[in-house]
Amino acid sequence: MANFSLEALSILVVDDNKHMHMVVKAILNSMRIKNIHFSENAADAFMELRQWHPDIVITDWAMEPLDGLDFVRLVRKGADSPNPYVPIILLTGHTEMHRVLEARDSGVNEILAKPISIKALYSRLVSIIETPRPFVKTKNYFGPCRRRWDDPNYKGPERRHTPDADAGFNVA
Amino acid sequence: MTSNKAQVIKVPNLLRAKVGNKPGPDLNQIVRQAEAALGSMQDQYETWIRDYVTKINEALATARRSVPPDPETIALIRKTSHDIKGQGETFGYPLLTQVGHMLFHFIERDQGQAARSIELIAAHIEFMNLVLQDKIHDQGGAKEQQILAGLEAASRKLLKT
Repeated sequence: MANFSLEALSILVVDDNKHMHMVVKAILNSMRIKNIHFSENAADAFMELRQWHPDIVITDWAMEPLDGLDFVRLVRKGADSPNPYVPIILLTGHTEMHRVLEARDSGVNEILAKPISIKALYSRLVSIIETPRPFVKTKNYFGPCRRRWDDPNYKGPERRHTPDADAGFNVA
Repeated sequence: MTSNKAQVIKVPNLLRAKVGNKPGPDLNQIVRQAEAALGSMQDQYETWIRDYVTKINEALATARRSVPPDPETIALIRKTSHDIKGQGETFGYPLLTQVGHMLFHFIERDQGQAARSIELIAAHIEFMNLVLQDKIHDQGGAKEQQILAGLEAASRKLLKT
Protein backbone atom coordinates (compact mmCIF):
# COMPACT_ATOMS: atom_id res chain seq x y z
CA MET A 1 0.00 0.00 0.00
CA ALA A 2 1.31 3.45 -0.93
CA ASN A 3 2.28 5.91 1.77
CA PHE A 4 0.69 9.30 1.12
CA SER A 5 0.72 12.47 3.13
CA LEU A 6 -3.00 12.95 3.65
CA GLU A 7 -2.90 16.27 5.49
CA ALA A 8 -4.16 18.29 2.49
CA LEU A 9 -7.42 16.36 2.37
CA SER A 10 -10.75 17.77 3.50
CA ILE A 11 -13.28 15.27 4.80
CA LEU A 12 -16.97 15.51 5.64
CA VAL A 13 -18.13 13.04 8.29
CA VAL A 14 -21.86 12.33 8.42
CA ASP A 15 -23.12 10.47 11.48
CA ASP A 16 -26.02 11.13 13.84
CA ASN A 17 -23.92 9.96 16.77
CA LYS A 18 -21.72 12.74 18.16
CA HIS A 19 -19.47 10.25 19.91
CA MET A 20 -18.67 8.66 16.56
CA HIS A 21 -17.63 12.12 15.34
CA MET A 22 -15.01 12.17 18.11
CA VAL A 23 -13.81 8.66 17.31
CA VAL A 24 -13.47 9.35 13.57
CA LYS A 25 -11.83 12.72 14.26
CA ALA A 26 -9.22 11.10 16.53
CA ILE A 27 -8.38 8.54 13.85
CA LEU A 28 -8.24 11.09 11.00
CA ASN A 29 -6.12 13.44 13.12
CA SER A 30 -3.61 10.62 13.60
CA MET A 31 -3.32 10.60 9.78
CA ARG A 32 -2.68 14.38 10.06
CA ILE A 33 -6.01 15.19 8.48
CA LYS A 34 -7.31 18.26 10.30
CA ASN A 35 -9.70 19.76 7.77
CA ILE A 36 -12.82 17.90 8.89
CA HIS A 37 -16.46 18.98 9.06
CA PHE A 38 -19.26 17.05 10.72
CA SER A 39 -22.96 16.71 9.94
CA GLU A 40 -25.56 14.88 11.96
CA ASN A 41 -28.01 14.22 9.14
CA ALA A 42 -28.24 13.93 5.39
CA ALA A 43 -29.88 17.32 4.84
CA ASP A 44 -27.10 19.18 6.67
CA ALA A 45 -24.50 17.07 4.89
CA PHE A 46 -25.97 17.97 1.51
CA MET A 47 -25.73 21.64 2.50
CA GLU A 48 -22.10 21.15 3.57
CA LEU A 49 -21.33 19.51 0.27
CA ARG A 50 -22.76 22.49 -1.54
CA GLN A 51 -20.99 25.15 0.54
CA TRP A 52 -17.71 23.54 1.53
CA HIS A 53 -16.77 21.06 -1.24
CA PRO A 54 -14.97 18.34 0.77
CA ASP A 55 -12.60 15.99 -1.03
CA ILE A 56 -14.09 12.85 0.53
CA VAL A 57 -17.28 12.01 2.43
CA ILE A 58 -17.49 9.41 5.18
CA THR A 59 -21.09 8.62 6.04
CA ASP A 60 -22.87 6.31 8.43
CA TRP A 61 -25.69 4.16 7.04
CA ALA A 62 -28.10 4.05 10.03
CA MET A 63 -29.49 7.58 10.28
CA GLU A 64 -32.94 9.14 10.28
CA PRO A 65 -35.05 10.46 8.61
CA LEU A 66 -32.85 9.90 5.54
CA ASP A 67 -30.35 7.11 5.93
CA GLY A 68 -26.82 6.99 4.54
CA LEU A 69 -27.84 5.26 1.31
CA ASP A 70 -30.57 7.86 0.70
CA PHE A 71 -27.86 10.47 1.10
CA VAL A 72 -25.54 8.67 -1.33
CA ARG A 73 -28.32 8.44 -3.92
CA LEU A 74 -29.04 12.16 -3.50
CA VAL A 75 -25.39 12.97 -4.06
CA ARG A 76 -25.00 10.66 -7.05
CA LYS A 77 -28.32 11.18 -8.81
CA GLY A 78 -29.90 14.35 -7.40
CA ALA A 79 -30.52 16.97 -10.07
CA ASP A 80 -29.15 19.61 -7.70
CA SER A 81 -26.18 17.57 -6.45
CA PRO A 82 -23.12 19.82 -6.01
CA ASN A 83 -20.67 16.99 -6.73
CA PRO A 84 -22.01 13.64 -8.02
CA TYR A 85 -18.44 12.30 -8.26
CA VAL A 86 -17.28 12.94 -4.70
CA PRO A 87 -15.71 9.77 -3.24
CA ILE A 88 -17.91 8.30 -0.50
CA ILE A 89 -16.95 5.79 2.20
CA LEU A 90 -19.91 4.15 3.90
CA LEU A 91 -19.61 3.21 7.57
CA THR A 92 -21.89 0.39 8.50
CA GLY A 93 -22.76 -2.22 11.06
CA HIS A 94 -24.40 -4.23 8.26
CA THR A 95 -21.99 -6.80 6.92
CA GLU A 96 -24.29 -9.37 5.34
CA MET A 97 -23.68 -9.83 1.61
CA HIS A 98 -27.12 -8.58 0.51
CA ARG A 99 -26.53 -5.39 2.52
CA VAL A 100 -23.07 -4.95 1.04
CA LEU A 101 -24.52 -5.30 -2.47
CA GLU A 102 -27.29 -2.84 -1.62
CA ALA A 103 -24.66 -0.33 -0.47
CA ARG A 104 -22.51 -0.94 -3.53
CA ASP A 105 -25.47 -0.42 -5.84
CA SER A 106 -26.28 2.93 -4.21
CA GLY A 107 -22.99 4.27 -5.58
CA VAL A 108 -20.54 4.23 -2.65
CA ASN A 109 -16.83 3.96 -3.40
CA GLU A 110 -15.85 2.02 -0.31
CA ILE A 111 -17.52 0.26 2.61
CA LEU A 112 -16.09 0.16 6.12
CA ALA A 113 -17.49 -2.02 8.88
CA LYS A 114 -18.05 -0.78 12.42
CA PRO A 115 -16.31 -0.79 14.80
CA ILE A 116 -13.83 1.19 12.74
CA SER A 117 -10.42 -0.32 12.15
CA ILE A 118 -7.69 2.32 11.86
CA LYS A 119 -5.83 0.32 9.23
CA ALA A 120 -8.99 -0.34 7.24
CA LEU A 121 -9.94 3.35 7.14
CA TYR A 122 -6.43 4.27 6.01
CA SER A 123 -6.52 1.62 3.27
CA ARG A 124 -9.90 2.91 2.02
CA LEU A 125 -8.54 6.46 1.78
CA VAL A 126 -5.41 5.28 -0.03
CA SER A 127 -7.49 3.17 -2.40
CA ILE A 128 -9.61 6.20 -3.33
CA ILE A 129 -6.46 8.23 -4.05
CA GLU A 130 -4.32 5.55 -5.64
CA THR A 131 -6.77 3.51 -7.68
CA PRO A 132 -9.90 5.52 -8.36
CA ARG A 133 -12.41 3.69 -10.49
CA PRO A 134 -14.15 5.32 -13.44
CA PHE A 135 -17.79 6.21 -13.04
CA VAL A 136 -20.42 4.25 -14.87
CA LYS A 137 -23.83 5.49 -15.93
CA THR A 138 -26.53 3.06 -16.96
CA LYS A 139 -30.29 3.21 -16.94
CA ASN A 140 -30.31 1.90 -13.36
CA TYR A 141 -26.99 2.94 -11.88
CA PHE A 142 -24.69 5.90 -11.52
CA GLY A 143 -21.55 5.63 -9.46
CA PRO A 144 -18.04 4.18 -9.34
CA CYS A 145 -17.54 1.13 -11.53
CA ARG A 146 -18.64 -1.84 -9.47
CA ARG A 147 -15.93 -4.05 -10.91
CA ARG A 148 -12.81 -4.15 -8.81
CA TRP A 149 -10.66 -5.74 -11.45
CA ASP A 150 -10.64 -6.44 -15.16
CA ASP A 151 -10.07 -9.93 -16.40
CA PRO A 152 -8.00 -9.54 -19.58
CA ASN A 153 -9.04 -13.02 -20.67
CA TYR A 154 -12.78 -12.41 -20.26
CA LYS A 155 -14.53 -13.14 -23.52
CA GLY A 156 -18.13 -13.30 -22.38
CA PRO A 157 -21.00 -10.88 -22.99
CA GLU A 158 -20.98 -7.26 -21.82
CA ARG A 159 -22.20 -7.29 -18.21
CA ARG A 160 -22.23 -3.62 -17.29
CA HIS A 161 -25.86 -3.14 -18.18
CA THR A 162 -26.97 -5.94 -15.90
CA PRO A 163 -27.77 -4.98 -12.31
CA ASP A 164 -25.46 -7.50 -10.70
CA ALA A 165 -22.17 -6.85 -12.43
CA ASP A 166 -19.52 -8.28 -10.12
CA ALA A 167 -18.92 -7.97 -6.42
CA GLY A 168 -15.45 -7.77 -4.95
CA PHE A 169 -16.25 -5.34 -2.15
CA ASN A 170 -14.13 -5.65 0.92
CA VAL A 171 -15.98 -4.82 4.12
CA ALA A 172 -13.39 -5.41 6.83
CA MET B 1 -35.84 4.15 -26.93
CA THR B 2 -33.38 4.42 -24.00
CA SER B 3 -30.03 2.75 -24.65
CA ASN B 4 -29.05 -0.05 -22.31
CA LYS B 5 -25.39 0.61 -23.02
CA ALA B 6 -23.22 1.77 -20.13
CA GLN B 7 -21.47 5.10 -20.34
CA VAL B 8 -18.02 5.03 -18.72
CA ILE B 9 -16.78 8.35 -17.38
CA LYS B 10 -13.11 8.84 -16.50
CA VAL B 11 -13.01 11.31 -13.63
CA PRO B 12 -9.74 13.28 -13.32
CA ASN B 13 -7.81 12.14 -10.25
CA LEU B 14 -7.50 15.49 -8.50
CA LEU B 15 -6.85 13.88 -5.10
CA ARG B 16 -3.66 12.20 -6.30
CA ALA B 17 -2.37 15.60 -7.36
CA LYS B 18 -3.55 17.20 -4.13
CA VAL B 19 -1.72 14.81 -1.79
CA GLY B 20 1.47 15.18 -3.85
CA ASN B 21 4.55 13.01 -3.55
CA LYS B 22 5.60 13.77 0.01
CA PRO B 23 5.32 10.59 2.08
CA GLY B 24 3.19 10.69 5.22
CA PRO B 25 3.67 8.88 8.53
CA ASP B 26 3.86 5.14 8.15
CA LEU B 27 0.86 3.05 9.03
CA ASN B 28 2.32 1.69 12.27
CA GLN B 29 2.91 5.23 13.47
CA ILE B 30 -0.65 6.22 12.51
CA VAL B 31 -2.03 3.23 14.41
CA ARG B 32 0.06 4.05 17.50
CA GLN B 33 -1.07 7.67 17.48
CA ALA B 34 -4.72 6.80 16.90
CA GLU B 35 -4.66 4.20 19.68
CA ALA B 36 -3.08 6.72 22.03
CA ALA B 37 -5.72 9.32 21.11
CA LEU B 38 -8.54 6.84 21.58
CA GLY B 39 -6.95 5.65 24.82
CA SER B 40 -7.00 9.20 26.16
CA MET B 41 -10.76 9.21 25.52
CA GLN B 42 -11.32 6.10 27.65
CA ASP B 43 -12.69 7.98 30.66
CA GLN B 44 -15.13 9.89 28.47
CA TYR B 45 -16.08 6.64 26.81
CA GLU B 46 -16.92 5.01 30.14
CA THR B 47 -19.45 7.83 30.62
CA TRP B 48 -20.85 7.50 27.08
CA ILE B 49 -21.21 3.76 27.27
CA ARG B 50 -22.93 3.96 30.65
CA ASP B 51 -25.33 6.50 29.13
CA TYR B 52 -26.09 4.12 26.25
CA VAL B 53 -26.63 1.20 28.58
CA THR B 54 -28.84 3.31 30.85
CA LYS B 55 -30.80 4.40 27.76
CA ILE B 56 -31.30 0.83 26.55
CA ASN B 57 -32.37 -0.32 30.05
CA GLU B 58 -34.90 2.53 30.20
CA ALA B 59 -36.23 1.60 26.76
CA LEU B 60 -36.56 -2.00 27.92
CA ALA B 61 -38.55 -0.86 30.99
CA THR B 62 -40.82 1.17 28.67
CA ALA B 63 -41.23 -1.80 26.32
CA ARG B 64 -42.28 -4.00 29.23
CA ARG B 65 -45.04 -1.58 30.28
CA SER B 66 -47.19 -2.20 27.18
CA VAL B 67 -48.29 -5.32 25.35
CA PRO B 68 -47.38 -5.39 22.56
CA PRO B 69 -44.53 -2.94 23.03
CA ASP B 70 -44.58 0.29 21.08
CA PRO B 71 -42.66 -0.24 17.78
CA GLU B 72 -40.84 3.04 18.38
CA THR B 73 -39.47 1.69 21.65
CA ILE B 74 -38.23 -1.46 19.94
CA ALA B 75 -36.66 0.74 17.24
CA LEU B 76 -34.93 2.76 19.97
CA ILE B 77 -33.51 -0.45 21.48
CA ARG B 78 -32.28 -1.48 18.02
CA LYS B 79 -30.65 1.91 17.39
CA THR B 80 -28.99 1.98 20.81
CA SER B 81 -27.66 -1.55 20.38
CA HIS B 82 -26.19 -0.38 17.06
CA ASP B 83 -24.43 2.52 18.82
CA ILE B 84 -23.07 0.15 21.47
CA LYS B 85 -21.87 -2.22 18.77
CA GLY B 86 -20.17 0.59 16.87
CA GLN B 87 -17.97 1.74 19.72
CA GLY B 88 -17.54 -1.09 22.22
CA GLU B 89 -14.48 -2.69 20.68
CA THR B 90 -12.84 0.64 19.88
CA PHE B 91 -12.66 1.31 23.60
CA GLY B 92 -11.73 -2.13 24.79
CA TYR B 93 -15.12 -3.76 25.28
CA PRO B 94 -15.25 -6.40 22.53
CA LEU B 95 -18.07 -8.26 24.28
CA LEU B 96 -20.25 -5.13 24.11
CA THR B 97 -19.67 -4.98 20.37
CA GLN B 98 -20.58 -8.65 20.05
CA VAL B 99 -23.75 -8.51 22.11
CA GLY B 100 -24.74 -5.18 20.53
CA HIS B 101 -24.31 -6.76 17.10
CA MET B 102 -26.41 -9.78 18.09
CA LEU B 103 -29.25 -7.71 19.54
CA PHE B 104 -29.25 -5.30 16.61
CA HIS B 105 -29.51 -8.13 14.09
CA PHE B 106 -32.13 -10.00 16.07
CA ILE B 107 -34.40 -6.94 16.04
CA GLU B 108 -33.58 -5.94 12.52
CA ARG B 109 -34.31 -9.33 11.02
CA ASP B 110 -37.82 -9.45 12.45
CA GLN B 111 -39.01 -6.52 14.50
CA GLY B 112 -42.40 -8.20 15.09
CA GLN B 113 -40.76 -11.32 16.47
CA ALA B 114 -38.46 -9.17 18.58
CA ALA B 115 -41.46 -7.32 20.04
CA ARG B 116 -42.88 -10.69 21.11
CA SER B 117 -39.54 -11.71 22.62
CA ILE B 118 -38.94 -9.06 25.23
CA GLU B 119 -37.30 -11.52 27.63
CA LEU B 120 -34.68 -12.41 25.03
CA ILE B 121 -34.01 -8.70 24.44
CA ALA B 122 -33.76 -8.32 28.21
CA ALA B 123 -31.22 -11.14 28.37
CA HIS B 124 -28.98 -9.33 25.86
CA ILE B 125 -29.25 -6.13 27.89
CA GLU B 126 -28.53 -7.99 31.14
CA PHE B 127 -25.34 -9.25 29.54
CA MET B 128 -24.38 -5.67 28.63
CA ASN B 129 -24.96 -4.70 32.27
CA LEU B 130 -22.73 -7.57 33.41
CA VAL B 131 -19.88 -6.65 31.04
CA LEU B 132 -19.94 -3.04 32.19
CA GLN B 133 -20.35 -3.84 35.87
CA ASP B 134 -17.43 -6.28 35.82
CA LYS B 135 -15.44 -4.08 33.38
CA ILE B 136 -14.68 -7.05 31.15
CA HIS B 137 -12.16 -5.70 28.66
CA ASP B 138 -11.43 -8.94 26.84
CA GLN B 139 -13.43 -11.88 25.52
CA GLY B 140 -14.36 -12.89 29.06
CA GLY B 141 -14.17 -16.40 30.38
CA ALA B 142 -16.15 -19.58 29.83
CA LYS B 143 -19.22 -18.12 31.54
CA GLU B 144 -19.40 -15.09 29.25
CA GLN B 145 -18.84 -17.18 26.12
CA GLN B 146 -21.54 -19.57 27.25
CA ILE B 147 -24.00 -16.70 27.69
CA LEU B 148 -23.21 -15.35 24.23
CA ALA B 149 -23.66 -18.79 22.69
CA GLY B 150 -26.98 -19.16 24.50
CA LEU B 151 -28.22 -15.78 23.25
CA GLU B 152 -27.17 -16.66 19.72
CA ALA B 153 -28.92 -20.03 19.85
CA ALA B 154 -32.12 -18.52 21.26
CA SER B 155 -32.17 -15.82 18.56
CA ARG B 156 -31.61 -18.39 15.81
CA LYS B 157 -34.39 -20.56 17.13
CA LEU B 158 -36.88 -17.70 17.21
CA LEU B 159 -35.85 -16.41 13.80
CA LYS B 160 -35.75 -19.98 12.44
CA THR B 161 -32.36 -19.38 10.82
